[in-house]
Amino acid sequence: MIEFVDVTKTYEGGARGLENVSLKVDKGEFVFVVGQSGAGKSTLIKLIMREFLPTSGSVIVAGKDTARLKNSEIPYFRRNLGVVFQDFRLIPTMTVYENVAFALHVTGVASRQIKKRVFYILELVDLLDKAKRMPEHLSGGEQQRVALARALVNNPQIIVADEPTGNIDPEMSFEIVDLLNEINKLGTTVVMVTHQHNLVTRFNHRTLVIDQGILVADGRIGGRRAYR
Amino acid sequence: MRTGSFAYLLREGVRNICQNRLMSLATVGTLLSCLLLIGCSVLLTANINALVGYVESQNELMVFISDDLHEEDVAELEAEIRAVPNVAEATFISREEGLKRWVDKLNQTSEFYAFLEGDNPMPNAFEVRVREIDEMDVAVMHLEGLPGVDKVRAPVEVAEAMAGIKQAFTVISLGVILILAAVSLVIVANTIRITVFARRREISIMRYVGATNMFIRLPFLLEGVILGLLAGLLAFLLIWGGYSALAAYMPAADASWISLLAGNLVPFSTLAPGLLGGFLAAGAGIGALGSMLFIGKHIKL
Repeated sequence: MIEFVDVTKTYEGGARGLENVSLKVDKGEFVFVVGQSGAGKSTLIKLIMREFLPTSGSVIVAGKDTARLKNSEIPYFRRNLGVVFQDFRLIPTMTVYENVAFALHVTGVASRQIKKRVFYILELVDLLDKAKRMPEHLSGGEQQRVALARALVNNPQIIVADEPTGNIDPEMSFEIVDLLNEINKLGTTVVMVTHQHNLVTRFNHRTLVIDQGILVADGRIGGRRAYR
Repeated sequence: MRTGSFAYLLREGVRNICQNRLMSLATVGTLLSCLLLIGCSVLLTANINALVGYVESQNELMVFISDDLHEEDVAELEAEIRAVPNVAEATFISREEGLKRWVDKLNQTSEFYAFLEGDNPMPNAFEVRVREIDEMDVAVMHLEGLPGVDKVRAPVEVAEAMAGIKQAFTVISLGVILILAAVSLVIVANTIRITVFARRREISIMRYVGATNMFIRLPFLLEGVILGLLAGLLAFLLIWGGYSALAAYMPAADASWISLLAGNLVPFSTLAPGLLGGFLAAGAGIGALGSMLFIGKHIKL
């Protein structure tokens, strides 16, 4: 589902994002990406999202080489991905329902379908009773669940979560990862960036460790194999 | 694109305007001022042209012919005069008729006429009208070259002045329109930039969920077009009111030159369709172009 082939990303000015990273994430996998701030985790996410292209090597997502996408194809490519951010990025002037429906409106889905799908997804993240609330009246965990609902509503093949638990208390963090697990069990590939080791150790998923732009380990905590 | 989607985008455009009420108001106001100035300049030019046209139509030159010509020669000459380019009309004025006119003009009594009748100093002549006043001098040259023509008397200076006025007004109004159009573009572009900035969070989310570029940009384009159309419509209504008031006030004024102008004021009904169409097109065009001017820079894929 996601494949990096010898990917190096160097930013303008020479700052290094990733160096010679090769990895493969299969369909239906759940993968943690860990590393310190500035290690290159966000670079990895942005390469998957096709926010930019690698300096060398190739990134293949959902069967598409991101370097070969035309500009006009990028929006359609991104519909394969659902993204969740640390800061939720909800629209404060819209209700919970509208925030989720927004993702469908802007991709041109018919109004009748929008209602059905939004309610289905809100039920999945257990927020049906709060559909009319504004984001500011929700807890951090609830806001993140709205963001997750928005990421899921387009039925993406991959969920990319960039520190989704970074802004919420630990109890809620487990809930969010539980939810991601549920989604994963339904067949969606999940890539979750985190720096919370307690999550990685509690949920025994494959973990990629990035340090200074280099993939230094890949495997399950406890039994992971080290590259160096 | 489906109509449902377009309706959604249109709603978004209107929402943009409502959320930035003050800025939208300022934009419509500025656009309105620019369009009003453009409209005034167009109306002024139209009226100057109409006035010049009127003066032009009054413009005559006299072609005095040799006394030696026989009747047949005169008829032949008339045909030749009519064949000169730019000549619209040629009327034969006999010596007697010419004298009568001259005496009338001098406001003299019939005794004076009787006194001169025996020894009429006036030559036979043709009264000639030209079509284009600014090319009168060419016609004069042609006429002077015809055999049998003694002298041509033409108000060439008036003709040149009129042509000059017409040209000057056209150039000035074109300049005014261009400058104001540029100003309007920048104003709209700035408003849209502010809206884009205010909605940058939504735009980034739209990008992440896979909204197409057109879907992201269209509400801003529509916002610009709506503001432009609104300003265009208001400008038309204001110009209409103003022009009608002017037309109603002017004949009542004391100064005779004002009444003269008022008598020749182009009726609004003849200008209205062009003006309304022009305002709406200019408003929509400036709105669309203005909103697209910087948007590419602010909304990247």
